[in-house]
Amino acid sequence: MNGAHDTMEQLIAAHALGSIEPAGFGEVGETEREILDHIAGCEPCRSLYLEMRETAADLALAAPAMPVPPELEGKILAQIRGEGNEVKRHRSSISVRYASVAAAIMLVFAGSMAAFAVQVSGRLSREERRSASVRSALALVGRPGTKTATLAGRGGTLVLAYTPSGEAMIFGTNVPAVAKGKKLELWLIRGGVPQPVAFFTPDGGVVAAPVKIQPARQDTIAVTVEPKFVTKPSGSPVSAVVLV
Amino acid sequence: MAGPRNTQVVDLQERRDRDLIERIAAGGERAFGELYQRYASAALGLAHRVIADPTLAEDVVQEVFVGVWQKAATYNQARGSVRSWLLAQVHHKAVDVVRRESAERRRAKQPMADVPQRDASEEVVEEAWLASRRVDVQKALATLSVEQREVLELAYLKGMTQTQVSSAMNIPLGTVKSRTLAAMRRLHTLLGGSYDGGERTVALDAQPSRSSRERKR
Repeated sequence: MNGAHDTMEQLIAAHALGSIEPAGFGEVGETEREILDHIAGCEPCRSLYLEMRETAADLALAAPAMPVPPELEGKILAQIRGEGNEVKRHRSSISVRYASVAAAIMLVFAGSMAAFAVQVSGRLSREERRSASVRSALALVGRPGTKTATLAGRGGTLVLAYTPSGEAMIFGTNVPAVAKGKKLELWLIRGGVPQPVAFFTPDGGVVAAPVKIQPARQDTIAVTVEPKFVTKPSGSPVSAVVLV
Repeated sequence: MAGPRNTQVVDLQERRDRDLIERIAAGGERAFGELYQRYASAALGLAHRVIADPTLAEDVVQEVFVGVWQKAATYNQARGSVRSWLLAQVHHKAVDVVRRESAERRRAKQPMADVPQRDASEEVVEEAWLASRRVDVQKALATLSVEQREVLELAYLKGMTQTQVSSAMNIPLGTVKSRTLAAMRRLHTLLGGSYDGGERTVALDAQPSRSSRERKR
């Protein structure tokens, strides 16, 4: 157990109590992101995180229960019924997500086409390849049964689209360039064991690469920055998401 | 008396909660009503304890339950039970209100031990298992040291940051952090139970079999 690990444990406990400072409280802020990134690759801390959250929920019961005014439920129901459009938007979150992802891809695609028009012939093949990849990602996202996992990192977002049959693509827009000599590595973490999936680099801020992966519930999808393809992550993920 | 427990069983309440969330995500208003009945009094109690303003506390509960309806599909069981997800939202929003509205002036200046411990079965409608757990929590808290209880009181029920707790208790920030972790671990040990991201288990002797009203007879 080292000092950094002790600090993370203390951070997890304070976070569970909502005692983290200063701002961004109650939202997925930098501290929570730091914790989530850490627990994606640290099973003891993941267990502690869950323990602390459940203990905080127990601590909530230290406050005496209050009689609930009878009209409160009616007010809540009136609000959710009165927000039909809003509620419908959330209930259709999957299709909306597909639509927004598709829209993002289309923007990239449009940008690619604009670039296509002005690039010298030597770059045409590169743009064409990138556009073809984006079209493939678009087709995959729009297919029934395709699921997505969003990896939000500092300054960029990657989306993993995958089907039950194992067909998958990792793609994203405005992905920041990684340091010279380094690339991004995609991981599937199952049972605390990371398995390398793909090694790639953003091309003009765009990632659109087919990958072989069959994620399941409780798996963690993570991305690290590596100097070369490795079979074990050399550091903490820059982004991670747990699948449900 | 709460104490370390060895026999763990799957918490069927958590399975039921998760079923409700899935039905709410599919637009189930009846499931929403059931979840509301299960947790509204606990949620309001927590919000009121943090904010000490009944109107603002009701606003928080309303906001959280509307959010539950809208975002049920985003519930991630890998990050905690439904109970912890819901009550954490209540706590977050209540503390946001306190910090935003400077509601400290309205709050009672009572340490946790001085908060009136009302008999929930007489004043509120609360499910037996939740009332039973509440009793366990109160007993467990009573076994913590005064210092540990105070750090949890200030950080959680008064919504203070770790730095604010340090100032309030006049102890170094590092001590606050280590004491917070120790207190939470102690509380977890005393209450038993675990959550592995899929199933929640509870200590066998914490399984509620009688309501607190029945216990009084």
